[in-house]
Amino acid sequence: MVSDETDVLPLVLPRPSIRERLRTPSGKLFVSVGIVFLVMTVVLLVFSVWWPNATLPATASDTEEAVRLTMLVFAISAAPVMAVVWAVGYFSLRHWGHGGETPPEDGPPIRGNNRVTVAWLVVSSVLTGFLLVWGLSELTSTTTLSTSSSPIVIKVTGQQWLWSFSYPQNGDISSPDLVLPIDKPVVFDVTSTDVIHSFWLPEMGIKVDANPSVTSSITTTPNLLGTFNVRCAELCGLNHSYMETTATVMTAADFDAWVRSQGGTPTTATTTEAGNG
Amino acid sequence: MAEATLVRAETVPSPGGGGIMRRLNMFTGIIVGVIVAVAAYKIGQHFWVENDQGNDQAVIAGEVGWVFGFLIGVGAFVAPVRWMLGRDLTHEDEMFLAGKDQGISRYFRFTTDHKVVGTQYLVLAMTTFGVGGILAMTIRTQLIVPGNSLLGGQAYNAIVGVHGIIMIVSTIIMVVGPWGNFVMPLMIGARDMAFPRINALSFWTLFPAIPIFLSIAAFGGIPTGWVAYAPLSDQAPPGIDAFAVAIILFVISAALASVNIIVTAMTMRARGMTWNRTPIFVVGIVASSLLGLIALPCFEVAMTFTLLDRSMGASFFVPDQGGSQWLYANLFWLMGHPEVYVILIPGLAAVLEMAPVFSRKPLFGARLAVISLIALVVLSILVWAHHMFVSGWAPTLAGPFMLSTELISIPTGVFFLVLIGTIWRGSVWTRLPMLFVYGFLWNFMIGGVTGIFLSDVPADNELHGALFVTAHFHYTLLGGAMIGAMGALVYWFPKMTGRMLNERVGTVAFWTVMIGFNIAFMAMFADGLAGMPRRVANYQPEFALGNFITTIGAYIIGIGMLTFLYAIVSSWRSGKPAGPNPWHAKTLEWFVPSPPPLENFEVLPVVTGDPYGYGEPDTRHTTHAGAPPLVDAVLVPAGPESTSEASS
Amino acid sequence: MNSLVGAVGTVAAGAVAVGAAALVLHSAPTAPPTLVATDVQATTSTPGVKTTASINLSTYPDSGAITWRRTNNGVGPHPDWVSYGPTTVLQVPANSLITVTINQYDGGEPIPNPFLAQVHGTVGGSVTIDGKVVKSIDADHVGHTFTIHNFPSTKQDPLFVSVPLPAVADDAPAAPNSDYPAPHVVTFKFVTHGPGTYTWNCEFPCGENYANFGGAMSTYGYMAGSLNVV
Repeated sequence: MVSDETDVLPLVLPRPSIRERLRTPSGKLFVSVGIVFLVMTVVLLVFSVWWPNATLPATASDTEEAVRLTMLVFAISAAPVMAVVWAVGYFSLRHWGHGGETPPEDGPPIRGNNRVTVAWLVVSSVLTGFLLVWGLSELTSTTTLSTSSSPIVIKVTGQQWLWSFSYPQNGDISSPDLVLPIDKPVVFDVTSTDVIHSFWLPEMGIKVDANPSVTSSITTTPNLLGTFNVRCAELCGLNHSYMETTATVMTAADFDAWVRSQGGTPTTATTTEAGNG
Repeated sequence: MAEATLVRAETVPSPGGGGIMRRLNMFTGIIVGVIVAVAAYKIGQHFWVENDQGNDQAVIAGEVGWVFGFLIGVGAFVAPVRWMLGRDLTHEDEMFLAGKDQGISRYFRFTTDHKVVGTQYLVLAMTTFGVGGILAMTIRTQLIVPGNSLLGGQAYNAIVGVHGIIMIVSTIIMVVGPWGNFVMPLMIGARDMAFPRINALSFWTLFPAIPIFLSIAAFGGIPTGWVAYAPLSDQAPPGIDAFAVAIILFVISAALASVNIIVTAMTMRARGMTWNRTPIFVVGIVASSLLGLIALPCFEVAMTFTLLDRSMGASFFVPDQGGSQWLYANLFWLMGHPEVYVILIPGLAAVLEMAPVFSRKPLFGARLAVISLIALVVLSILVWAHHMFVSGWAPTLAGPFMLSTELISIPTGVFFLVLIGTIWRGSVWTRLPMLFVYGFLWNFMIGGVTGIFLSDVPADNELHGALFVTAHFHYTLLGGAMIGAMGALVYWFPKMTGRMLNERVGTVAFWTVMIGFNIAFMAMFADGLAGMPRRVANYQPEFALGNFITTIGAYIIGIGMLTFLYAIVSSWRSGKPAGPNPWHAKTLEWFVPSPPPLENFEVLPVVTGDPYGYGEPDTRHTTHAGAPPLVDAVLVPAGPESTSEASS
Repeated sequence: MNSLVGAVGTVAAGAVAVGAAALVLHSAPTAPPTLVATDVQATTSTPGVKTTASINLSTYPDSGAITWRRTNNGVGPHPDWVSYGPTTVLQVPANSLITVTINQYDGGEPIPNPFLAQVHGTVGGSVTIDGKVVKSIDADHVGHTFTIHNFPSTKQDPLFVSVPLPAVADDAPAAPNSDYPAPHVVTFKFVTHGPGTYTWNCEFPCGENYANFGGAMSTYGYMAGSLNVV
């Protein structure tokens, strides 16, 4: 919180009891701002927990679960900071504000306060450090494949204005929409035949650009049955708005049946063969 | 009155001739420009029409011809030519160039007075905001319901791109152009900018870029958005040639203006104005100009390469011919990220300048604010690749760029401390400019916090390219920088026009804009979280509610902005006359009449302290002769005392 | 009071400006005429299909043959662009079996994405080319494709159809009384469900500039259009 050393009651010195200090004009000031701060923090915390949950799409992969957790942690860390600024702003307007043709008498000439400044810098640095460490560890966990199970490799080709998918491990069958078995790591090898597209599975929290002449890889493990969206997230010309298709997550048995119906060779249900296609 | 003085100016006998200089203006510039453009276009078509690249070359030739024709026609080269012919400008000619005794017509000429240039920039920025705003409303109208057939894919992509670039250009110039030119020399106690003719040139180089931006529509539009990503730009119709020429022109104009501002602030500050006594707004303008000077040329390079790719068969960005789309992305974002700070810092500096005046308290932690400005300038150059987290380029650099991006939140956070420290226990004078300071605090906080989400690579993988990003940067650039710029306009409007802005209408406009803005972009955050991509003309029914709310909010913003425009126009014509110092502020611009006379100061001021000595009866910023040295302490008269104090 | 009138007037003027801009942008490109499916006949042979209808299209190496785009001087703005004809705005009945016949007059090259040399979404997954029924064509000699885009998460029913059109040989002689060689005649059937608006375009890069997706490929009315199911 903000204080200042020209205050009638400097906080550095040992003083009577905290109760007495809170009864001074300066103490009452801090109590009122503190109450506004606490109320705002609670409101913001409720908002930051409820709002993303109300708006985010279904969670269909381990990656998306990590993203959701991160957003929650970030929102909770940000709430008190926002509350401090807004509480002081609101309070100053409410309690010290004056209109009129001539300015009010000058306020106290406070040009700075080293303790507050240092505290502010320390808190913001610690918060930043925490978010960074959190982000880096999460980055490592979401981009590294677990070694226990061998992944399905799917080639994703973006072209103006169509996605197509092929399954090299399943006899190179191809499909205009994405079909995935549940609980099985997938590696998407994404490329483009023309301009830059961006392969996005909103419900699975992964996105990577489809670049011409380059293959970029991204991995996730779908963990929810259902039909989800595949969208292009990079403006790619005339029909960019229509460049989307579906991703269907099905059980391993259903997936094998689908592969067979497309004329491919199923590899999923029998784990011993998997991943060597 | 204007005509009378104009006649007088023309009848002044001018020893060196110079008749033609007195007859050139914006309209002769447009006439010559159009003639040269048509000629160049025809020549281009004649020589290149059989080329399989279409008429890119002819379009480029025509656009460049327009620029040179316009500059010749407006008289930009009169002085160097006269110098070359050995008939250098006389004093009368220089005074004519500065717009002496010309009334309103000096705003339509190649005029060197920094106050004229500042006013020209303000009107130009307001005009381009109007164009960008109309396009924004059109975009939102298209998106009001899913499956709307108001605009086809081509028209929609084109207006998304033109809205983007027009708004980027407008926000870059919205504070530095009007107030960096008009107020900054006054603030540092100078009579004009260091290079007055370059100052005029910077404006009149930008002016012909605006028709080129609009001509994009005539040449097939752009399918790329304002980022003009390659290789999509190598595929686009000739609209992208117009786009590239306009960008190059804009960067030249910005470079001229930046150099001028930096040199002026470095060398022409009043006697006694050390950096510690320099107003924070001047520091902010210099920081922003410096950053722009470093960053914007990367865009120029990228656009030059694009033109070479398109018109001369080069392949800088064509992957299967040895080029790289990531070369473009890197060049673009090397400009693109510093550029958002080029936009933000002047608006922020204006807010920092206004907060002490209306809190009647010194700026809290002024040195910390300066250090943080420097930190922003340095760090913002080192974060560009966070725009490329999902591009597939150098995944190993995700960690380092996450670090630099999150580090930038520390200096950014300092400005919140500075602002709330300044208003803490201040006697907040709740006039209209202060409302914009509060608006900035609210919006920019949201913009900043959502930026932290995007700095995290896994979260960015989800949110990149979605409307969340669009909402985030509108919160920082529109809600933050532009709210600050609108506050600056209200704050310095009396100095520029001599009249007060109608505060009742202005307050209505402020609240309308703030409420509409928060409705529109909160709903856009929701759509972005839910998975709606950016720049789509059509969307799924699940996003319908959010888009409807956003469109309604956007209309409310439009109503608020137009109300604000009305407040400006009506107050400019018939507002309440303002004295020299309506805000009882302490910086130097308030010590000259409103509007200031040509050459500003009869006697150059001497500075003896920083301008934030509110509540400190013993400190004063200046001992400027001819104006009361301490406005608040009316009892202290200006007099001989001031000179003695200045020399002590 | 004055300021109220002034502010309202300014807002009204702004609204007029936005409306004018939207109107200009709305009507900017000349809209192609609509080609309505012919031979609409009721049928009961297949469940879910109430009518049959047919539609005839052509693909030309230039757009000189497209009559609607002709202006007073006899040609459209880009006479050398490839084009579908007679138009690219198609209208077909809902719940219907649509027979499409395309006369393919244009040459071709290898297609970058072999996926699009296969037939997707037609009845039987096949296409009849000059009388032969095939499920895919040689990916090295593709002229164009006819591809209807699925827009899955709208409320309209999914519909994805993609048919490759084989290339006419480059050295084929012009047919009698024609500027073009004899065409490949491509016939296929697909089933529409509920009403909706779909986007279709050619997915073979046959335009200009980078990746040959500029020009005719990126302009409605040449190689891109819409399919209205009513």
